[in-house]
Amino acid sequence: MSLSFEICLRALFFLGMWNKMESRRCFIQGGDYMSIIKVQDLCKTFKVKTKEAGLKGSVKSIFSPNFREIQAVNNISLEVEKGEILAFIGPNGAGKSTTIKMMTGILYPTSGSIEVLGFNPSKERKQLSYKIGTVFGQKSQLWFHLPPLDSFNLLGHIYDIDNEKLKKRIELLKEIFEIGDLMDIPVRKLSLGQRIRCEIAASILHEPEIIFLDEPTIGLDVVVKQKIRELILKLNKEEKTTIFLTSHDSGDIEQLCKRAIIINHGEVVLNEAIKNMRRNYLSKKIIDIKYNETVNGENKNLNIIKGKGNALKVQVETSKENIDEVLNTLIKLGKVNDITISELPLEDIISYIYKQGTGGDEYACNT
Amino acid sequence: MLMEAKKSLKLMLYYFKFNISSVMEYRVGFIVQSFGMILNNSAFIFFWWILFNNVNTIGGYNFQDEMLLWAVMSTSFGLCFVTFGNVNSITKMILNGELDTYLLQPKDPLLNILCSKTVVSAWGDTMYGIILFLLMKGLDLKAFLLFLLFCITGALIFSSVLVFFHALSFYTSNTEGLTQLVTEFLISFSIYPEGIFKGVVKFILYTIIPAAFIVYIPAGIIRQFSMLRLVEVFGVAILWIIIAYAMFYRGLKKYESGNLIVNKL
Amino acid sequence: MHAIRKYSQVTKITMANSLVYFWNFLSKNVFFVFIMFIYLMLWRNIFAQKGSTSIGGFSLNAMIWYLIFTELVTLSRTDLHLQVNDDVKSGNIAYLLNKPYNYVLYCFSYFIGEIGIKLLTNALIGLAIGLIYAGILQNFRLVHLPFIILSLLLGCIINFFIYLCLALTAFWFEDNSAFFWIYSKLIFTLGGMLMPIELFPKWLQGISHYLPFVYVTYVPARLAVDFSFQSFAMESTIQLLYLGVFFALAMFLYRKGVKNLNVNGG
Repeated sequence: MSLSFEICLRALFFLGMWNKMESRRCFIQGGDYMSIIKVQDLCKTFKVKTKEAGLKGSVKSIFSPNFREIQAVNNISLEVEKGEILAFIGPNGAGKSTTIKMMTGILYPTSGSIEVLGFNPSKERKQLSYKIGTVFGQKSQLWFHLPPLDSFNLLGHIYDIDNEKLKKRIELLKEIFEIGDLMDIPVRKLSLGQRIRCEIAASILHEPEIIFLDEPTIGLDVVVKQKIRELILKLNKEEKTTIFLTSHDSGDIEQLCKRAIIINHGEVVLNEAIKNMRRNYLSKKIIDIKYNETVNGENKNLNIIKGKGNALKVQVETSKENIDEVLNTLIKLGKVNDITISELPLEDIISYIYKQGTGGDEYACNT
Repeated sequence: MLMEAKKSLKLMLYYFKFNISSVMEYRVGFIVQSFGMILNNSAFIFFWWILFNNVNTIGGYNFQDEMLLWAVMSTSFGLCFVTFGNVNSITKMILNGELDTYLLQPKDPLLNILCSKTVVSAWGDTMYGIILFLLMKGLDLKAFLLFLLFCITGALIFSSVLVFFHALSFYTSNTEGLTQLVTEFLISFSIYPEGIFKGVVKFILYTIIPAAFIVYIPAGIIRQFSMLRLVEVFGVAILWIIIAYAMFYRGLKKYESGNLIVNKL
Repeated sequence: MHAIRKYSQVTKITMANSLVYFWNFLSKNVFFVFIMFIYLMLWRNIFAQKGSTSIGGFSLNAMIWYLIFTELVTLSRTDLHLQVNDDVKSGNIAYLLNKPYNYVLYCFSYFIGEIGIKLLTNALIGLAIGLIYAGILQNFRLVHLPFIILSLLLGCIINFFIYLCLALTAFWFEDNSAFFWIYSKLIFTLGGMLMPIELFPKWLQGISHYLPFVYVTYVPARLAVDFSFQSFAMESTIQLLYLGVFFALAMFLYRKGVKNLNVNGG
């Protein structure tokens, strides 16, 4: 080969490598903060055909159809660090599913960039799929009429897991998820809780670095919910799996996540540690107090939410009011039998934040 | 490229084994359905036997030729639905968003979808064709090998045509009815002697409803070998596979852009 | 193509049907046109081969019209038997036991309701096909029509009750779909649906006459192309007889099945 040709080849090779390196900058930089998901200015608009009502409209829509643009995701930027358990919260139609679909490569963004584990999800979906796991609400990875073990074996094959490794992995998962005796029962015969445990186990068969969980505890009873939460925590601790959790259940969020991203109308409304959310956004405390006899709390500068008979429910805005004074006022009202002081439930905090978000018309989009 | 093809073949084989074992779970159902299908198909032997009792040739075919046609058609159809059992669910999956599960897996989505199910009764069709062929041609090894070969190409063309029509659902809202029609057309045309069709119809049989390449020409080659025609059949099979893949992946791109135009009617 | 779509959109809205049902409707009708087309090609070829103008006593014209009538019976069929199958298998039927009506009769009245429209549309299409493919039916007299229609209806109803009986076997058999196929093939063959039984060898013709299948398709179609009051009187009486038999059988199977259900706790 001529020298110049060789140099060109090397240059090209180098360029190619450089490109690859660019996209994996996050790993090269290293350090304590490793963002394994980076989303920047992500946008997604859908074009939906609209039709006027009635016969005329139907006919018109064939010949000159009208389209309406729906902006499902509007400039979302976020980062997720390795080993985090992140809550992704939003009301229905907020753009959650759309965002997750883009992060997993099922949907192409209209604009903006996404980088998951160094991959561009839409362009490198296949390579990415080896490293992520998903549990999406209604979509099951398990064959309905067959026992979970069969599905596990099939998935092992799909993810190119070596036979020996697969066997060991299944044994481990059987232990962690306590699904050992469920292995040979057809999935359709399992209870919802059992099925979800098997689903989550199936989704981590190939030891993914990130799992996307969409409403994993929906429809489950309290005991089972707790169990699933414990499993998720264990997973995160032992295998250092990053968990991207979508949930409407504040119990999930409170117990599992340190950080929450709240989206509404396709935009990020809040991106904060749960602790801070409580502290910053709502500094409200609720005092439930029960007296020996009926009391009158009026004209005492108290924010009474509910007053019935001997009981009062008072709200205190700790950033504005002095809780010491409020307590004094309350105690002076009568003989106190019982008192409970609690924080505003997370649900209420979140609803409040939803409402605070940018206005605009509600729309129903493909979430 | 070759590595991909090898991996795809491995996946197909694995699914094949997987599907057989899941079908064997319901052994009685399997036997009943397969046997029922064989009985079902044999009704047509009766039909043709009576017809050929009344007249010697129809469309240039005699009784044996007609049975050969049936055999190739039946096993092609059977193989198609045994290996690619999910082919007629594609439209449903597109509309329900069930494609997503497959898109998230690290394997070629089309093959993954197609192979993940097997239709039990199609085993009956497959066996019927083989039995019929052996009854007609006896233990003619060369003919039998050709027969198997053409059943494979037939199955490939059959499934490619169906995938093509199902992939139209990416563009319009629901082509299920159309695809059902196409399936019936494909089958119905393939079981009548070629000679009765003329003109435009004949043209259709060589193009959009390629019954000619699924059964007619192969049956002809089994009767009288022709290397040229064999290559023709292969070529058409490969062509249809390419068309099916192209149509599906173009549609998939559209699906992934999220702009599935939903007809509000 | 655009014009057709425009009109089909109108149909959709005025019938207030969901898209699925419409496509089903259309595809069944397209299938009718299509299968008759194939039969036309086939029989033209056969008649040309044979060189004679009549086979088994049928001219080409009569043969095509015959086939239209047999298709009319088989295509004017509801999928009710699948619903019954599901009801029995899912145990849903237990809820229907409490209703103040008989399940069999309920199914029957549902069938009549559905078939009204189906038969009408199929008949119109059949008429169009017949006139285009074969021309006016020879020896046809308008005065015969009501009797032909009656025989046709009887054939459809017998068909329904047989399907119902087969569906009711779901009380005892896990997978009875094979029964439906086998029955439909018996109609194809011994019922004279694919061709008039005059083409069968004599011994087979004899047997067919004793079986109920001919009374579903062959008899009405034969009457249509070769009517005589004498044969009408005789054949329709036998049709009524078979109707009674299968109706009784359906009732019996239902009662027995329900009893079975109650005893086993459903």
